Amino acid sequence: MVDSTFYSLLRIHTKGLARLVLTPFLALAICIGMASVSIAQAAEENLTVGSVKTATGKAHLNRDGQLFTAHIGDHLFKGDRLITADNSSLGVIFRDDTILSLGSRSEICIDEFIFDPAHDDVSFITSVSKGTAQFISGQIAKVAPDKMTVETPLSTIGIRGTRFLVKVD
Amino acid sequence: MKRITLLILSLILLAGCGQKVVLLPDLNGDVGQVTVTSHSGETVTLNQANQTVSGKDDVYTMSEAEVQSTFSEALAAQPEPTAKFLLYFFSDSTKLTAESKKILPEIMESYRTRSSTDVSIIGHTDTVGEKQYNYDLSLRRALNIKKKLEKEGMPADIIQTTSHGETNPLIPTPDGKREPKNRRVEVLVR
Repeated sequence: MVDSTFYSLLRIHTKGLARLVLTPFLALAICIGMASVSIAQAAEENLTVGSVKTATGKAHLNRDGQLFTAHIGDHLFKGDRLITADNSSLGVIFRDDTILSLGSRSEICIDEFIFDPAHDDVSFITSVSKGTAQFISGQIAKVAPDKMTVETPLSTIGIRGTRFLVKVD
Repeated sequence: MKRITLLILSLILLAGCGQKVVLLPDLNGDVGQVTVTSHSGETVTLNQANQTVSGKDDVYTMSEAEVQSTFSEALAAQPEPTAKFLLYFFSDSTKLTAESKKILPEIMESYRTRSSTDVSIIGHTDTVGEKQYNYDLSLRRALNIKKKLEKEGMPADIIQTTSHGETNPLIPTPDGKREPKNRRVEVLVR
């Protein structure tokens, strides 16, 4: 209802001279709208979920489609893909103290990571698309075992603790 | 002949989209449990050391030799587990006990040897006093430790502080109970 009124007003006003007056305001309104969305996204994305602890050979992070060399100490964010080439490896620790390490030619995506135990809000999903990996689960699997899963092309792995290996060809 | 070719082809295909999940004993030697549920619905539960599910439901015990030959790189890349420290406080205070003061250098040592860029400081209280008061008290405790570690040279931007108040006791007690072990700050160095 509000929308249709808005658009009919817009149609009337964008005719003739009024368009010249209205356009800058409209542009400003759109800019403010977009800015507040991107700030909210930035706040969401800037939550560190873990850090890189070991890296050998060609170990990379793919973040928003861009490939970075993984360095020890780099912070990790939700959505990051961990990628290793031949003769390479990568080891990380998450904020819930889950330990994850990858062998050569491996790829794992951090699909979701929420760790706010003070408000009973936890969730952890990773997906192994290829290669070899060791997981040692941490606080999330301990306090809420059904909130941590590892996806593979074939299966969903549920974790009641703590240490397991995955190989996907 | 055609049939054999087909069989070989399908075996190659099966091997090509293979998967293995192996349960290893935990770092402390206990054996945990994982479930592997295929997208078509079959669930396999692993609860024995080195128990393995290959593909959807082929279960066997993987030898140490196969574990090493398949996973040696991933195992070698395993980081050291998080170092955990507990610091204790006087009642209704952000003052550290004498024993806990001595742990601060150990925390700094751990931060340096691990080249850590991710340290968590988590404040707690016992159940004496109001919930909101205790939330604030445990936050003050955490911030006090943060200040001390920064003074020793830990960068502020690698530290995150959180406060749990009285909601996450180390030793569960009824409300209003004095418990020195619950008046604590956890420091996690990753």
